[in-house]
Amino acid sequence: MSVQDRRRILGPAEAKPLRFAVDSETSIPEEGRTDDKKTGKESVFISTDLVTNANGSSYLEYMDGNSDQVLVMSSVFGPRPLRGSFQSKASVSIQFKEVTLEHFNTGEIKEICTFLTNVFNAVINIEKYPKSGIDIFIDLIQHSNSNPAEEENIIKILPTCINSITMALVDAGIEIIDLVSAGSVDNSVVAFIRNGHEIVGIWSDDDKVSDISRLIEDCRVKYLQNKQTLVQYLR
Amino acid sequence: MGLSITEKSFLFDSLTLDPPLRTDGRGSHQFRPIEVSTDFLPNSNGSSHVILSGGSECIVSVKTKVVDHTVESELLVTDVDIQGHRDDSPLVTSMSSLISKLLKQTIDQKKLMLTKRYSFKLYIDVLVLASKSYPVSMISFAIFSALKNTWLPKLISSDDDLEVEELPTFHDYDMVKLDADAPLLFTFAIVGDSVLVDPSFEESLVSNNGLLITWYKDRATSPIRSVGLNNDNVKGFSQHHLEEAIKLIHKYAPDVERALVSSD
Amino acid sequence: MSRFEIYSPEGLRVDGRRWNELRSFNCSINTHPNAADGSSYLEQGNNKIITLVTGPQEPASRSQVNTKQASLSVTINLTKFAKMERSKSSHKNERRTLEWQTSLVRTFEKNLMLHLYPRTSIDVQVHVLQLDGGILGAMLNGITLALIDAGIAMYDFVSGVSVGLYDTTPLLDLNSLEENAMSSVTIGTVGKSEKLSLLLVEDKVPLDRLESVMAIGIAGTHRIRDLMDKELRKHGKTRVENLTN
Repeated sequence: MSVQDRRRILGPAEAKPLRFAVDSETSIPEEGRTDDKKTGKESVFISTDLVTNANGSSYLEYMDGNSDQVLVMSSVFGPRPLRGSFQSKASVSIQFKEVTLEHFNTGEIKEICTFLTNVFNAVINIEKYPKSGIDIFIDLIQHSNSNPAEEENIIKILPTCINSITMALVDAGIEIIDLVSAGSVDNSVVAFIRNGHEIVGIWSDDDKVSDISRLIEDCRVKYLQNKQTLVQYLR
Repeated sequence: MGLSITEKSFLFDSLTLDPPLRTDGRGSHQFRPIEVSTDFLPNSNGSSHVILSGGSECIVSVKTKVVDHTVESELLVTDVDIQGHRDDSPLVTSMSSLISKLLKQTIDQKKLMLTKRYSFKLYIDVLVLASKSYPVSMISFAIFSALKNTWLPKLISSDDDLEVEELPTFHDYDMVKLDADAPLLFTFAIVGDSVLVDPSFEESLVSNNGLLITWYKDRATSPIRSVGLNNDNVKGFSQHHLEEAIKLIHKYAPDVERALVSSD
Repeated sequence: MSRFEIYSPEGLRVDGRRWNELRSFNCSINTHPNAADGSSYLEQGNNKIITLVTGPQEPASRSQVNTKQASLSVTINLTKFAKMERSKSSHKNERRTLEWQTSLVRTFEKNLMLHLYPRTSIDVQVHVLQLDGGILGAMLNGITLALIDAGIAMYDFVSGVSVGLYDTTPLLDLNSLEENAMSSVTIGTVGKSEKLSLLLVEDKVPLDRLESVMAIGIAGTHRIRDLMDKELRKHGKTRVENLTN
């Protein structure tokens, strides 16, 4: 099946897409910042289009009730031409940039990447971008745990990563079938689309799970909240 | 080796029928024939060889070593090697991370303790000789049968060596069976509205999503994961697909477990 | 006789063999019919080897295409659990393994009719499940059987064995205990001839003794060839019977 695509004329290697000047009405919504640590409420701060040489980027600050903090930045590069054999659909790759990951082992990071790739394969309209690659990089800037006795848990950062990638994709203008967002309960994360009618990813490490329907229901509630926040920002 | 667009579309259509029509004529709950042989490596404490009829094969060896657990706290080492994939490829690393995490949770490390100072350390090496479909199910079956057939040397010295230091000594030929329960992992393919257990290579190519569910101590438990069986046909699924998969597992996993236990 | 006497005055070795005796040799072919195009399982003493051959097939990348003949590759997977004590690191990129791979490729390039399969690749995987001395010779035998099973044209059997030299006595088919105690050579011969296709000497062997070492080695490989031939004929017979029934 490895047929080389000879029909395409590849541009120069350092080609960049055209960019148009944006209106300078940069009003970053500050509602996230106002919620302080003391309020004990969950708070999210969102900002997009920070990385200039990426096609789209987003920055998310997530703080939960116990003042656990997750700071994530995602950047989307692409769709850009893929060299090599012809592919009728886009190929999505998601990777973590190394930094601040010393708490996690590499196997777990790879596992998360495979999982996220599968989630976004389902929501990005990959038929729309033949012969292209969409590369997404996640930068985990900070990740603090209020309870140091507790083991570092990769699941805590997963919903924020999903939300952040969604925002970056929107910023890049890549077609997605719906805004993906995820809700988490204890050690389980479920990613939904279509108002919670469709699941695009489930990751459960909760060994006490007895009723899967309950778990999904709980995650769905969180999903709807998260999605609402994303929608609000985009407005 | 892949399928053409027409072949894929034909396969997709037949799999989404009610009841689904699978290429090998199986029902949605049926496994492909599995061949298991155990205890063929005299150098290892336990070994198993699992052959799936689709051409996937896996060998597991369990080796042990006596260590001082006050110095070495890690009593379980799992290593996965899949032929045709580099050791640092996403498939191999995520598979080995998943399996080692799972085994650490499920194998009771207290049962490996010999005395108050010394323990057995288990090395579980997985070698996948050939795999066409997603190999995790096969790997878990192989680990299960290998652990069920692992024999450890019998301790004859005293098991209290906290005060009087004593190296553990073993019986010359008597062995004790390792008492460990390993989890079984089941893969499901979601194709349209059908939920199929143990998808073959061709079925994985057209599936919309995949589910990984663990069966341990007579119930479906975590990790529950959605896994991508391919890269270009992925779609979301609904809650009832998940419930359907769990229903299937509750109904048929005990049979699978019984078959694997009785195989030795 | 003490347990660790390599060669007793009565002429017995650690495992009770005499100087010119082979270890138990068991082989079967077509053991993994679904996983590969050709396969074999071989036990030579306590060595246990699985060999899988895939091909002739389209090469994975364009750069591997050879328009004159098939490109042959051999991968040796010495598993971590193969030795008595589990090894910590993988043996994949060890110099010794890489050297074995090259010498096996060179040996079989001469003995296969590769010019019949231009623009293809033939990949051989050798999995060593258990290791007990003289592994290179055992791998030669395993690969020969798997290639025959894959139906790849070759001129004749290639069979291999290791021979050690203990003082002045050559000892045939060393196990790992003996291998560590003396210098040894590995010999691969073509069919029933005295043509050597492979000769690997990793230690010092006195030149005046080399002839006797090679003589017993060649006799050993001929015996192994016969054993493999017997097994192949038996296998062929059952297959024909299965076809006619």
